[in-house]
Amino acid sequence: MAAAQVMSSSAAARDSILQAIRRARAGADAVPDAPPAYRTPAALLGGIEQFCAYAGEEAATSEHVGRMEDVPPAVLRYVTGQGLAMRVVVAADLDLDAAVWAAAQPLQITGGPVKRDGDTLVTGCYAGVAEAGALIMLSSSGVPNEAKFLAATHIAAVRAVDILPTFEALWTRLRGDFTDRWPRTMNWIVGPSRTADLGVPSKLGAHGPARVHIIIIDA
Amino acid sequence: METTSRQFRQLSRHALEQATLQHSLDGVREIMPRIRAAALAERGDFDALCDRARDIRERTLRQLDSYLEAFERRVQAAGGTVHWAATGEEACRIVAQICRDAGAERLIKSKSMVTEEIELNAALERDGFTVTETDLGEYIIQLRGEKPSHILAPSLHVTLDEVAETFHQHHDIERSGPLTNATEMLAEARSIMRDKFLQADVGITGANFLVAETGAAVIVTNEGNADLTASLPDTHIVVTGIEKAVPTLDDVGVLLRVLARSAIGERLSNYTTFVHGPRRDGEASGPANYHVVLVDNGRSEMLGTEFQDMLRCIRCSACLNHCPVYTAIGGHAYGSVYSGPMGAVLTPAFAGLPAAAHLPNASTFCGRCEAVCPVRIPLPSLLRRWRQRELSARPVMDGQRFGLGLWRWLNHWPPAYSLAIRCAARVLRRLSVPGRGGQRWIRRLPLLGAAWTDCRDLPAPTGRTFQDEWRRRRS
Repeated sequence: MAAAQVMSSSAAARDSILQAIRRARAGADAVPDAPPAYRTPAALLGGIEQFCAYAGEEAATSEHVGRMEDVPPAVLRYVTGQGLAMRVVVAADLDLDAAVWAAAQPLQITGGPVKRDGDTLVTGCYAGVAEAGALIMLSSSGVPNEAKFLAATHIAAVRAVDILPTFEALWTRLRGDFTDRWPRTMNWIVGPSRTADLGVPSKLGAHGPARVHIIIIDA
Repeated sequence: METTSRQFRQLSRHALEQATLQHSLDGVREIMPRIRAAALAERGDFDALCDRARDIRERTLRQLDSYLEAFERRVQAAGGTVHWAATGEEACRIVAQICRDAGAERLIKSKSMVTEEIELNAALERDGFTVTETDLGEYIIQLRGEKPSHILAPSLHVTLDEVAETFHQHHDIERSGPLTNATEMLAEARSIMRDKFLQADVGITGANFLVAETGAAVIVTNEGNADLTASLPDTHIVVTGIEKAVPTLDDVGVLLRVLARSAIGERLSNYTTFVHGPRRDGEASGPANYHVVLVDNGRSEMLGTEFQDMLRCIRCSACLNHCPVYTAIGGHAYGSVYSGPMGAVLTPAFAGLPAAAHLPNASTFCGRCEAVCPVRIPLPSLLRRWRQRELSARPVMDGQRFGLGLWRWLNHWPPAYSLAIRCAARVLRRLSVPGRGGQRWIRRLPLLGAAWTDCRDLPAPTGRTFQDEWRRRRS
């Protein structure tokens, strides 16, 4: 079938589907207004501690550092401690210049891309959400989106002030930052990639990272 | 939708005899309710969240046209294309055409029940494309040429030994020895899949939600395969049902909270991705082409009918995991890609009642499915409505119809009902023998009753009726 034919059948389908929907609701009562956004009961609201605990339950690890400049030494410590290759890909969203990374020698720093299975990726992070232990990452010009899912180890640095209690707090912040043009993709990440298709318990490192380490910058 | 639901009786009998399947189902029965309950216990507001979730889905369905149009405008503004498909065949044709236009050969897919429903893989393969499923469970059943036996864990019925066997058969690689454990199998699948991801021309995903407010397709996985499928190839196609629309991000937040807890007892799945369109100027990567295919395939026909509530479903699978029938026979016996209580309601709607009449009858109406449904779908009532339709389509002298007619007649004549029940209670008591726990049991019944006693004992009544007992206690 020719391309044009397929596309015109899509237009016909659009009309018929929308008409069917409108027919179905003809004569139905008016739909009441949506209630205000859901409010999580105060007793369930948490902060950084909850964020770390919940991420930890999903097999992510976390640590605190004082300032942004403390991130490279923390990365070096983690890579050494895990016995990983002394080479990391650093995403451009991490606001650190080369001089600061010099403090993490002998770690080799590259700007990417992540190619090999086994690479370690270091990124920044738009926000964290405590109620799910989730890292919130946005696509940007600096970071190829797939890198977060190709790396074997993902180290994410998030500022303590960016850790929000709930999804609702995240929506508020997103609506403030992007009034109309939403980021092309937003990825929420809770711990390492896993699969439950090879029995219980789940196995880590299904397609994406087998390790997720979170560095929380307190200042 | 192709089904083998007509063979439900033979298929379920076969399932009951399969020891390995029974072992897997024991796992579902024992583990899933426990982890769900634990996840709920932490959220004191879970009931309030479910009420919200139900209201969100209900409100969406009542204005589905305007939410779909708003979603479409958003996607177009971001540079994507929205296609509408009235039927499964139309959807398959649209996807194939997009792939041809992209000059594609190799396609990768992440798990999507809608694409199972419309049999997209078979259609694309007929058109000469190579399709690789990237969810590990889907990949395993794709290699084995099987259908999913659970909407969330499609390879639930496959044992680890069978996975090893399947990989040995299909993976053309050198190994130091046979695959013996899950870690080795995962490593092998990961390395094979890596190449498929990097070489693919088109990535096809489903969507859990379509957000009218922002135009986002929201995709939830634990493996991260949907993220690679959506970001590596040059073309990304989202194929999903029209009922997946939701009004706002706030609504998505509520639905995500109930989805993962109901599905896998987690606060959130590992990966939740919001896709807003194709690669933008200056971006380092991402698909240049972005398409969303909205599939109706019988959904709009359910709107405004007594089955509309079923369209609230968010495919969490809690009703399967808690169903005494599903956990006894597994998904394949249903003969449909949708199984368990949700499948028993959806399959007659999509495949026609004559093809799937057994499914709504395969329920004890115990009510657990409705109790655990996060969007409060009255599944037993919907199953009963299919039964009513099915029964009234039978000939007047049909045995079951006659029996139910007799029962109805008795219920309308209290003296006759009372007499019949009193006789039955006494006769059954007489037929019983003492058994375990001080209880009396009936080992054998004649005629229709044999269907019960051939498989298990029937607990004997006390010999008195409820009405007798009620009268005695009140006096």
